[in-house]
Amino acid sequence: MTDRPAWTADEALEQLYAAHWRGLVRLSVLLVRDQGVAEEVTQDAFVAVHARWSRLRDPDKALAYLRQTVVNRSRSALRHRAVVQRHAERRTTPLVEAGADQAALVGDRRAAVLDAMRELPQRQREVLALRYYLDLSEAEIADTLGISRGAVKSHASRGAATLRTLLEEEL
Amino acid sequence: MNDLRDLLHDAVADVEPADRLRELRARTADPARAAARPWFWAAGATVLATAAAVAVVAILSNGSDAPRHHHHDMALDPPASTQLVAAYFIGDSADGPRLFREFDEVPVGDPLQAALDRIERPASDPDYSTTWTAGSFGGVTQRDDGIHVEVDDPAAVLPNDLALQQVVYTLQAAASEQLPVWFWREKQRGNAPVTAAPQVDVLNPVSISDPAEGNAYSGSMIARGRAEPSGVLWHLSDSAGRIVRQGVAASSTSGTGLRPWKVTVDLDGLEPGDFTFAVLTTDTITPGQTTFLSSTDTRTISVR
Repeated sequence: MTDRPAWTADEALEQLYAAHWRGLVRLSVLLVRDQGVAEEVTQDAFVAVHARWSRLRDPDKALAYLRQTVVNRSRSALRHRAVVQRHAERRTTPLVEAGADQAALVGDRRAAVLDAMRELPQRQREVLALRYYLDLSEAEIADTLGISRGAVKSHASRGAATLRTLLEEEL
Repeated sequence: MNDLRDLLHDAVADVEPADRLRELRARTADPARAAARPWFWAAGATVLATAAAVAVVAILSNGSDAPRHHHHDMALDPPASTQLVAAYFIGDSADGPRLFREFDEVPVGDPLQAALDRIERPASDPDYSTTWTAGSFGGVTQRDDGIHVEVDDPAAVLPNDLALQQVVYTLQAAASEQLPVWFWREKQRGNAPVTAAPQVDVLNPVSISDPAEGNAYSGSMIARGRAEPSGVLWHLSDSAGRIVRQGVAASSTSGTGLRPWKVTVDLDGLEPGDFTFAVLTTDTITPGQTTFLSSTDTRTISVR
């Protein structure tokens, strides 16, 4: 038990936002790659947690729910984007000639990591983001994704192996 | 030292999301609205009852021009001092003058008064206009039999129907209820209240709720609005008028009248600058013909 006074839904929203907004947007960027979509997805998740606060009533449970909602909605956003892109005319842009300075190298490495993440099957990508970015335990990842701990283990080891191969040059 | 851990942390280390706390407060201000996905109409719900819920998405990207840092020990922002109003303005359409909706941020106050104050001032979008001027309205109150509004300016001849509908639609959106509106002039009440004319007669067949005029984006942009059931064609053009993105957005299959549509526009690869986002109705297109009459709505946005 805690002697902390119970938060209202509005207070919970503000506290969770202050502590987790940036981290959860970044988590979503690892899943969808696109910051604009990630911000929309994460904002929707905060709205959802506010609506459920009377049932959650606990910051830890609320954070678990937020994580789960961000992952689920990122998945939906990817599906939606695939549909949109079939309709949208894609303009190919010539690659900008990047100078070989340090900033360009860092930018290349970041892009390579995000590209490699996108190449993974969705579950492997989700497991790796939760494990290596949020540092969740196997049990927490299993709860977040609604899969068994055995499945977490197998997605994690396959995903990590693929990612290491794809990012050989960066490691 | 974990290699993948470092790489994943580093990959998003430069992601600094825009501050959306204010938008979140707006979206969660009324618990009854917070649970709903804002761009879906509940079946059978009236358009106007959800106008306020849709309003919250209109500012999703406002104020996000510059990334701001949030740290765990940050001081929380002071309580919001502004609110959103849905205000209707008059613009041209293929069918003649029609009402277009804007969502605007105004100082916190009585929603009905705030909405009236808003249509006494010019629209944010230069394509729209208002027939009302500063001081046109006196007090406004909501009573059992509807909304009562004083038209103050004694010189004002009661304006044409569309201008009255502008007031009715704006006040009903502010009240979140389709109440009749009684107009008072020089302490005399009109003989009968004015009710909302059918949407097909007064609203533009297609409108953009989000983005708001002048919003800035990077990566992608989610656009939303209302249109006839046939959906909309959309395109994004650069300052030289070249179309750089285009597509089709379906309208929701449920509901009556104008229905919500939504599209995610991929902005990756566009040079930073100003662009025009436009939506057009699709129902007047005849296959094989190159010209067609179409209703449209546009917004200027910038890509950063």
